Amino acid sequence: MNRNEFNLEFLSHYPFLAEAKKYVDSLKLELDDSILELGKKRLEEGIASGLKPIVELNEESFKNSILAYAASRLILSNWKNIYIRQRMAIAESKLARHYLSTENFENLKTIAEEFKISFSVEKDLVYIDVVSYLKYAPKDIHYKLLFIPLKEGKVKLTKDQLTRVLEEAIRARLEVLAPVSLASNKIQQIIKELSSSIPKHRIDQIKINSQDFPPCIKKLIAQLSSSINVSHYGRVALAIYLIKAGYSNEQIQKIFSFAPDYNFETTNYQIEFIRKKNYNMFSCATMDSLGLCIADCKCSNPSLFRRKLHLFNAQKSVLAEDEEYVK
Amino acid sequence: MSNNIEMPVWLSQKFKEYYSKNFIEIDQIEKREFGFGTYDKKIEYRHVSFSSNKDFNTKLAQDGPLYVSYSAAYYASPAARPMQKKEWLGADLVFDLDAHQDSILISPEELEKLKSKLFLLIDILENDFGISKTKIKINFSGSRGFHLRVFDEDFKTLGRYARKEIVDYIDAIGLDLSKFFYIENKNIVGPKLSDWGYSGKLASTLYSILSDESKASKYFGKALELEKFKQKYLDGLKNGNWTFLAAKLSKSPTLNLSNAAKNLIEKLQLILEREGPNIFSKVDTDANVTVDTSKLLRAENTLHGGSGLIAKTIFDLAGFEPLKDSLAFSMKKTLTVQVLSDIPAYEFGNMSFEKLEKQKKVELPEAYAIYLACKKLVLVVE
Repeated sequence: MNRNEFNLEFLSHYPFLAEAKKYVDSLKLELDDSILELGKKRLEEGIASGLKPIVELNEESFKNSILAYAASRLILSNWKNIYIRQRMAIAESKLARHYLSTENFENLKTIAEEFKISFSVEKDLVYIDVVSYLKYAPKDIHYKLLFIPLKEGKVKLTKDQLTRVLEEAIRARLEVLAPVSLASNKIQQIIKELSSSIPKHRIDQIKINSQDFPPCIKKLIAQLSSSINVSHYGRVALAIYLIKAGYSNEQIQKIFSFAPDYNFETTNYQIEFIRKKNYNMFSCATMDSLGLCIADCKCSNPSLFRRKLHLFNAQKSVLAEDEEYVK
Repeated sequence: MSNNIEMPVWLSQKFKEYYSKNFIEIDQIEKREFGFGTYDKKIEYRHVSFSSNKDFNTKLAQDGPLYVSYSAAYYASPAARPMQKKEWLGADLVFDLDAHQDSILISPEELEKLKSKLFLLIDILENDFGISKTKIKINFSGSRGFHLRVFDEDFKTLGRYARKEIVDYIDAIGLDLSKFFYIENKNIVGPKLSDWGYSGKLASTLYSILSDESKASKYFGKALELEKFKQKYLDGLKNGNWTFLAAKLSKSPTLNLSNAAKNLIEKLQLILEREGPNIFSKVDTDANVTVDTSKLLRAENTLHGGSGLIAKTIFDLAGFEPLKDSLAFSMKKTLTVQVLSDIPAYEFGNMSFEKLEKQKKVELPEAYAIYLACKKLVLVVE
């Protein structure tokens, strides 16, 4: 394809498309420090506060944005850091959604095809197959299949819902990086410099007696501490539990600070909101329906776990005594 | 035969006879993980694989295992350990329906009830999920239930979360009715008959209740002045305007829309709980089996070591009678057994058997004797 045939503005909005890669290849550029610096800037912005839309609307700016993305992926491939990888996947997918929300259906189709998602449109509503939907639907109660119109293998979505599903597809794709062995000194230097911008505190610095937590809560904390993205309701459940367990905002912030999309203000607002509303801890049945229950603890609510555990241990000790007696 | 027949060995011998005469075929066998069980343990060892159905059948005929299970999953290296090394390639979408029964003997009545749930499941898979019946295979588990497998390339790649979403949909787990209602332009807007999914199911449920005089008065009583307003309620369900119905249910003289909506939802919840399984499909499938993408399930057409019955592939579900259609052994040949505990009168293989008393020696048809021996209720003595 001739270089002039690429729609650079479109590709700068969605630099993860195969077409964008073709464009970069067509430039036949040497990977020099200036390109790597573009990638570094993109990573800095993504890690710190999320990516912002392109301001200068000219060919040079579009081209640099595409190159910045390509370079950032190269740096990420060499940077074995799951937190950064997930945080950037979120930043990139959120930026993409900003553009997706203004696209016409024809362009949305082009992007969806990249993820093997096909859809039809009728009266401004989107019809997509249930398997594609289930693969990429956000883990959020509003996107739970039970509440989504489903018939003969098709789900019916609004355009806004479709763009949210595409955002998830993009995020999932960008969390996977091709293994690259090429790690020049410059890349190593950039990784070293950027590493200093990551929060350094560790969860174990605050006093958590993890023995006291039920398995579902332990898992949520473990996921966050490994920077695995936890669903909205998982975070709400965790925040309610920690508030009830007597944790301060600061202590809760520390746990949430490892979330790939962590933002201090948003987290603080949500913790305060949950405190103000004094929500009850979700029941085990609710936790189960949200996909958060992972063990049969024989209690009806995670906050009752300790009491049930003590009761269970007490019963077991009686049984053990009985057995000994029989012998 | 002596009086000291070792039942596990003897049963295994009978199973070998069955396997030497019946060829069992497993779809894409080279990508499946197998597990085998003994008299005391349903899965004694797993992480076994076969390169062909021929090798698999040779193993069955040589060893006569009492339980044979294989993975719903497809793996690049099915025998590798630990699990991560198997390289998961996908998994059939599977459902396990078990009868809730206390008796040690299989209850044909409970299995019959389970069949109607299975029909419901097939209906949802077909009408809601668009899965063609030709891609669905059902088999008797060989004991208390049925397994349903969906062989569909699209569904194969779904992960655990997506499978849990499917189970939640099928069993209406976490169904919050308030999600279907909102207030707009001083109206309570909710489900309408033409809606898809649970919204449409909810509207049509109410429609059929309101159309049925005895049910309508049961739930809405005189408060609705049924005859006078029925058409208005029904029209509301057609266009999704629930205001009129909510207003009639509201006890307050001045209509507060959000209170009326809340009241309406509570009432609907009550109706659904009471009409439950008849309205919203409660299939009660075992969620763990569907969600666990590395689960082993009994291989179809192999024998169940707890019954000696065939986990038979079913082609005509309506006409299928487990205790007649899945016999592996003869009802003509007989065996002498010693009864280990009282066994109630029972229908098996088109024959009626009287109550069997503990410690007696009786002569029984081979298939029934093996059935009881597998359940450890008798010992075969000669």
